Amino acid sequence: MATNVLMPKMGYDMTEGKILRWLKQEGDAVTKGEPIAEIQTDKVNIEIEAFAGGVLARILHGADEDVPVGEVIGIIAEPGEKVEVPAGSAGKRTAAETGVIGGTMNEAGSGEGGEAVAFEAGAGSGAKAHATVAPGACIEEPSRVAQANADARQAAAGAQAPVRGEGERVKASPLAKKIAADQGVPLAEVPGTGPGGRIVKRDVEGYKPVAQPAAFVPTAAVTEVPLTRMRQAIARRLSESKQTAPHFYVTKAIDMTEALAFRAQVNQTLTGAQKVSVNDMVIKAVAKALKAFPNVNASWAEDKIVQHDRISVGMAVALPEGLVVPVINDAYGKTLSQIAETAKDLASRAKENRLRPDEFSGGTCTVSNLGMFDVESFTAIINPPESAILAVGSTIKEPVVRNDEVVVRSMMRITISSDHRVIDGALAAQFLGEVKRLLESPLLLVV
Amino acid sequence: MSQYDVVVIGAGPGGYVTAIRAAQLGLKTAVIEDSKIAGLGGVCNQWGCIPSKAVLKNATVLHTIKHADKFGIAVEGVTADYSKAIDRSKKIVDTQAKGVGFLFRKNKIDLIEERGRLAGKGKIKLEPSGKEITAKHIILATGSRPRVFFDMKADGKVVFTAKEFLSMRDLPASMIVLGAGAIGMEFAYVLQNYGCQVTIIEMADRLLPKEDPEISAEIEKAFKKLGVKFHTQCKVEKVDQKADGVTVHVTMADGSKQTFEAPRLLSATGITPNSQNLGLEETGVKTSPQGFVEVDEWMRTSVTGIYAIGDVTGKFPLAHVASAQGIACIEKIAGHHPQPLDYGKMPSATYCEPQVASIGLTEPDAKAKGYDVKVGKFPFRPNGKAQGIGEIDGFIKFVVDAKYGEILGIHMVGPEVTEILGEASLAMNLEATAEEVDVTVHAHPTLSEVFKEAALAAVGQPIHM
Repeated sequence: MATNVLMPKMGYDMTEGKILRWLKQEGDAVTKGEPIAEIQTDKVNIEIEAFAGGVLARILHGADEDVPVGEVIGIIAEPGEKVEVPAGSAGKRTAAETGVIGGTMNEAGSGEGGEAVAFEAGAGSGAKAHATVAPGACIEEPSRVAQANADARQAAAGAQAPVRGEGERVKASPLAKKIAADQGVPLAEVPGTGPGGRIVKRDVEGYKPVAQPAAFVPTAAVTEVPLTRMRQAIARRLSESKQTAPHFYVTKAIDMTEALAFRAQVNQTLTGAQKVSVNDMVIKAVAKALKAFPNVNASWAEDKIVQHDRISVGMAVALPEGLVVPVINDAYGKTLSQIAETAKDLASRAKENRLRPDEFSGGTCTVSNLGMFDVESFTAIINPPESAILAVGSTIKEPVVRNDEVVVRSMMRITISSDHRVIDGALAAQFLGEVKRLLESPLLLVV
Repeated sequence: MSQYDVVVIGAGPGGYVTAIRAAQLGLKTAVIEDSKIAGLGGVCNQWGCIPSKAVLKNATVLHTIKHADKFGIAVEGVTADYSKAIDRSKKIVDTQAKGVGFLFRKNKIDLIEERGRLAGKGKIKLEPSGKEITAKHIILATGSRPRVFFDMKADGKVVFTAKEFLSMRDLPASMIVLGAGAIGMEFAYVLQNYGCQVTIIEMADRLLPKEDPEISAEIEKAFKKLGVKFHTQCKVEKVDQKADGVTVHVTMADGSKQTFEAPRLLSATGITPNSQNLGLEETGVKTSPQGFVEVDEWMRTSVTGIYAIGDVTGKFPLAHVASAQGIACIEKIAGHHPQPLDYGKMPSATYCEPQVASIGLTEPDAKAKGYDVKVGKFPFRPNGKAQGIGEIDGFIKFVVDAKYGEILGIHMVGPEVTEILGEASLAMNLEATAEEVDVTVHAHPTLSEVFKEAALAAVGQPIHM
């Protein structure tokens, strides 16, 4: 019996993956568990293993193709089995989702009908099936359509002054409104050049959707850098986060003198990977504070707020081509030295592109540390669907006042970025206060 | 040496308005105007828009009195002294000029009563005093003057332009009017009503050739009724200007030769820019072959710091366009964000009776531009107010794009249509479509109901037809 090989979903926000190369060719025998293809996701390169043994009967998407999650990329069959190239799961998937997607497309203002994906069945063996997509066809997932619009908004905002503030009335001439309605131009996204920013005919006629900002014309003096999947993911996800989550920021200066002394003391007895870093202590403190403030350990879910039982702290790891956020699962239940070991392991494997999908998903809060770059303080963008991220600066010796005396202490600033839909100012301040309390009395981290 | 932020050369409707706005924006401003050339308010006030409207009113009053019997009023022994009409117009001119002077003083604008000539970047030499003043921004608003062909000399005795005409205190038995544009038509209307037989000679194929052809046809009907003789598609071969009159030699539309004689002739054949003796060449300010100063959308000339507005730019030689150009120009200079002018939406008016007012594309122009044109037309005849005031000739015509009802042009001929023109301008500038005009409630009984009905005719079915 034939088994479809699907583009796997590696992480909640993965929508498509790129096939780097096939490790098997059509007709090759495969055994269950054997790697058959290598794919690239937003974050990592991974191998796809065969879920069944047999023969790789069909390859439906070749190397360098971007394939939506869940789409059939190949078929494993019994030797000699006659394989029906699926008018297949991809076609069904699209049809099944057309209703939902169509709705989204309409909201997005597209007048195009959703033409389903048509598969051209390979007539002979080895013929590669491919998808043909009508212009405006609804092959994209709803989230990506929404994202495309968000991208357009953001790009437009980048290209010129923001089109208009949230909730600001869209002023447009009657003629402009008629043309926009007729041609499906989203008026809210059209910059107005008439008196007082009013949208007039020329603005609607001159409006270019999504593509416009991308149509940057390079001059001889620029170097074009192709976007990696990771760069695309960073651009997409962080833009979305900053645009949808209302960020606000609270900073506290934390006296790390005791924590440094504590760390020096425990590291005398700990060895190797167990040695504790300042960041490990911050992660532990954050995990404990999240336990005390479950309403920070939460996510915005449009019609409700979801509080998570698990406490998993992500840590931003810089890579040459971008960054990833591996997650220390159950950071609350781990001891400091376990956190130290886990963090080192995750960081080193992240740098080698060898993280497993479950290792960079499921975080409930993130710590981003630029302390090693001599940074006093900074603000970070929330890593959705989390509601808070802590930006950790360097620990710096500073004169501070203690009991009316100026003394030298090792100070570190943490700035928490919070999603105001979930976390209010007082809550953020209290939560950060708890982190500060834990770090300033570091023995609390181990009790 | 006096230093200014802005110096405007010329105190016409472009220059004086610009200067006031400049002063309002906090710029130290001076205006140079040689009263021997025009005086405050420029041609518009001195021998253009303003005095002509005064004289035209005299003509319409006289016309009403002559036709008072239609109101059941018997008027006998009417005498009309034309010189009184001119006197009246002069008084109005003086009042208006004083008004401009008052606004200058109020806004602390220096009025320099000399001639100004560019003397390098940011410098103006005054004549005859020979003094030099400097300005960060120099705005040329020197206007235009009538263009006279056929070696005629406007002597104010036999040959007149608008300038001489508005000082002419007596009327001949007949007069030839060359040119059937707004000026020729207005003065022809005045003359004919005062009993001077007018013959209009026009090169184009109709009167008011810049208007929509249906407007021209309506106005030709009215002028015929008034007794004005007119000939179109005429090629003037030559004009003999003699001490006691003129002989105009014309090749007529049918190719025949004809001569026209009259004791006086009014030449109303367009304008030529006042761009000489300004030091433009020495300063490097580019002009067109016809002598118009070339400007960009913000009235900047080819030389930084020098701007030009109004007739001297040749864009659209009308007072209100000059003012609008000046406002846009000075606001841009002051770092504001004015809207660029849309020359396709400039209103124009002719004050004979019935009046003519229009904005935007004519029907043939719209078609030539490829629009899918729909026309909505409604006459004044069924309108209650028109009936009441006894002026039922004329109509309003909307030229709209069929797809969205976009208003491409509005053309009006009839009673007081120049006062309805503001609504037309507003509608076009706000990009109202014919539909918005239609759903706008117009007071009853007013002439403006015709405006609404014409819009409705363009997008549906008018009510009162």
